[in-house]
Amino acid sequence: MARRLLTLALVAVLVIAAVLLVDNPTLEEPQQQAPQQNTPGAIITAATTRQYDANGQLQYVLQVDRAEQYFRFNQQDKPLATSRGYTDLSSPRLVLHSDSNPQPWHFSADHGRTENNGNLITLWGNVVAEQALAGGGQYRIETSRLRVEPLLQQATSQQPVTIRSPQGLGNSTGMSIDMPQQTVTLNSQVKATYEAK
Amino acid sequence: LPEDRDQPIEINADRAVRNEKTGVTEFVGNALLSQGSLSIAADTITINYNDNGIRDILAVGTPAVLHQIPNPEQSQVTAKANRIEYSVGDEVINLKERASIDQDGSVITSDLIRYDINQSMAEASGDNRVNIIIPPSNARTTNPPTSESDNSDAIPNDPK
Repeated sequence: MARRLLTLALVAVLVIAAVLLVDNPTLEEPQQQAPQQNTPGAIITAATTRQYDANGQLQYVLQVDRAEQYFRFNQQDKPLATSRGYTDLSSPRLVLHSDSNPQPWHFSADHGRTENNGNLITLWGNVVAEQALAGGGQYRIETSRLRVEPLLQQATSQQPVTIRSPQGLGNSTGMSIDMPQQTVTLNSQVKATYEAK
Repeated sequence: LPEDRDQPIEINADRAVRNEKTGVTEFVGNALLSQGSLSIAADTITINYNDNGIRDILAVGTPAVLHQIPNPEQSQVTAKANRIEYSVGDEVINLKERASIDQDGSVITSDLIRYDINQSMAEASGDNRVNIIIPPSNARTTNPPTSESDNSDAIPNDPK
C-alpha cells in the first residue's frame, strides 16, 4: 500500500510540476541539510516530461533513461513534502525553449538532479549545451557541471568551460547563459581564438 | 606583416559577453588581442562578426595601444588612441580621440588618424591642429653616445 502511494507521488512530481511551477515560482535553495533517504522512493525508466507555461507554450522537454525519486526526512524521520525531495536522473537530455529566440538550447549530461519542483536542474558529467545559430552552425559549450533554472531560462557554471562556434574556440572559468537576453557571459580567465577567414 | 591577416586572432580578457541578437562579443578587463605581429591592448575589445567571420574590432582604453610591424623592412608602428577601430576586411585602422602614431621616432598626433595597413599610410585630420614630429635623420639612425664612449667634452668623474 505504502509503495503504491510513493509511486503516485513520483508521477505527481514529474507530470504535474507545471501546476506547481505556476503557483510556486519562487526558487528555494536545495535542502542539503535534511537527512536523505538512501533507497529511492520510486523509479521510472525512459521518461519524458513536457513542461508548458500558463499560455500553453512549451517551456522544456526533459528526457531521461532513468529517474529515481528520493524523499527528504525531518528530524523525526517523517518524509517531507515531495517538493523538498529530489529526483536523480541518468543521461538527462533537456531542451529549453525561450520566447525571445526561436532556437532552443539543448542540454545533455551523464547525470542530473531535479529539485524544488523542477525549478532547479543540476547537470554533471560531460555536460554539453548547444544552440543552433541564426546564421548557421552551432554554438557548443562543454563543462563538467551546470545549474539550469528552466523557469528563469538561465544556466550557470562555476567550472572551466570550452566554447566552440563557427567563429572559433573559447575558454573561460565559469559562465552563464541568459536566454531572454540572448547572452552568454564568460566569467573569468577568458581566452578566445578566431580563425582567419 | 602582410601575413598577419592570415593568422588566427587570439583574445585574452578578464570577462566576455556574447550577444546572439546583435552578433557582438565584448571582452572586458585587461583585453589583449594578437594576430601575428599585430597586437592591441585595451580596457575593452568588442568584436562584431557576420557570416564571414570578424567584420570589425573596436578597442577602447585610456589609451588603447596597437603595435604592428607593417612589413619586414620597416620597424614597428605604435598607435595609441582612446578608440581604435580596426576594419578587418578593409585593413584600415581609425584612431579616434587623442590619437598618435609613432614609427622610428616620427610621431603624428591628432584627433583622428586613419591608418591604411596595406599602404602603411597615415592620414591625420580633426578639429585640433595636426602635429607631426620627424626627428633629424642622424638622430634617427646613429645610437646616441653613451657616457663611457669617446665623448671628450663629457664632465670627468669627480676624482674625490
